Amino acid sequence: MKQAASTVSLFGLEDFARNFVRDINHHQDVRTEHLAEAFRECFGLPAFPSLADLWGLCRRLGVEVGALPAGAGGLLAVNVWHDSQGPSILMEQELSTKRAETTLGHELREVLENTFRRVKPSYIGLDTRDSKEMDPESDCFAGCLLMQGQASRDRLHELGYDVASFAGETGRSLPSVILRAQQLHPAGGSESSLVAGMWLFEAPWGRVRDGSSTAGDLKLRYRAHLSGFSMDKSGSASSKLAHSVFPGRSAAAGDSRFALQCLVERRPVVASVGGFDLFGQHDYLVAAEPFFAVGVPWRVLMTAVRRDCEHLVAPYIRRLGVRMEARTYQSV
Amino acid sequence: MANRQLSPLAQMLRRLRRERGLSLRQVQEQTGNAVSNVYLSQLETGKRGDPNPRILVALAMVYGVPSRLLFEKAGYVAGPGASAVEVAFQQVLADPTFQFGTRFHGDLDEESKRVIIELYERATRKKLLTDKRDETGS
Repeated sequence: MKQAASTVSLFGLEDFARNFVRDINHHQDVRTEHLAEAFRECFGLPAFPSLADLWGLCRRLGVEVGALPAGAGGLLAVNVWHDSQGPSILMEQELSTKRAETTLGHELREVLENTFRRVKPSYIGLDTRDSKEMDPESDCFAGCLLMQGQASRDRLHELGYDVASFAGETGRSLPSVILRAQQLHPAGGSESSLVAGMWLFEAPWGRVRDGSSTAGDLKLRYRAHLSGFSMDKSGSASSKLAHSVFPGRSAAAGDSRFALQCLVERRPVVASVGGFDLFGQHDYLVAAEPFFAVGVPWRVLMTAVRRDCEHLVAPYIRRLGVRMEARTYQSV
Repeated sequence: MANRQLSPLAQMLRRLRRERGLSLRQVQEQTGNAVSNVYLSQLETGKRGDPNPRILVALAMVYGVPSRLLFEKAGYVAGPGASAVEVAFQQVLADPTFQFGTRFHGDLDEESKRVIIELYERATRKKLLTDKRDETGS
């Protein structure tokens, strides 16, 4: 932490923004990871800031944080800023802590975007009012801010890419960790990177809370393809096999033999899946881990790791503590 | 492309510019480069659609017409009979002194827009909705 902010006004925010966009004229030149890092360093946020950290920072920066009025429709949060006042962020009162952290990070990015425009009128920014344009960037920033890049990369590596344990340790939500893992492991990364697919099936929380959720309610909600993992190899036999073994975009847990098995047996399943190529170089280790709440199925996390990266996930497989089953599929 | 094949917005944008004797580049300059001449040309010829409301606000200011007119032509708001909330929300969008951003489930529905309008009213002390319950009057 290079510098802890002690200002109790908007000047801290405007000074930061002025400095950050000094040589930037267009939002396309803003690198989100870099912005989040600069913001963290400038205002002394830890690698994995808590809701209290973010809330306290907003107070120091003069960004008012409050609750949305009741009957706000589908709004989770809104940030507003009129010339006559400072910025403010209003959030739905019922948000869980994890959701509130992500939401506050998301809203802070939009406040920052508006600050850039205010301190540098020639800056061509994103339109914060246009969700299609702004939200992907705001979500990305929230992920970067809540899970510092290098610290996350290091800890994920130590944990064998056990994203559930990482989420538990850092207090982040499992979906946000999966999305962050994707950001941190882009295609074309280093040769020693983990090549893997991750899929999270999830039942609607209402069904879980009511105790009525069944395997059929778990749909694929989040996925990450790490370090160039791909199911598409130009219609090759291995691609067809991958599509038959790994979940597609609109898959349900019931469509995956591994996800279904772990729910039925109520325990993790680890299997070696072969048949992708003659020499087994592109075979996969597949793990499926069920999560139950109120005694009913809530989530299934499925991970497929290319066999030449298997050593990287050894701590995760050890934590699951199950015997590996070998399965070989026919190339289609 | 014949005019009859162009969208109402494309026709309106071309007509407004020609009536004012402005070139595409002059419009770009007058919007402070918020709208590039290439993009405007594409809008006028129907090669691009669904412009960002901020683009329409910038063009409306250059052409000296109400933003609402361009919003209507773009199909972003209904013509006469649009709900009071929708009309008020477009006014909020058109005010460059008020910035906002949202996070929501699904589409920005009428209740969400009403919250934003009320926050705008509080900040600006302007009254856009005459009666908070008189929202959907057409």
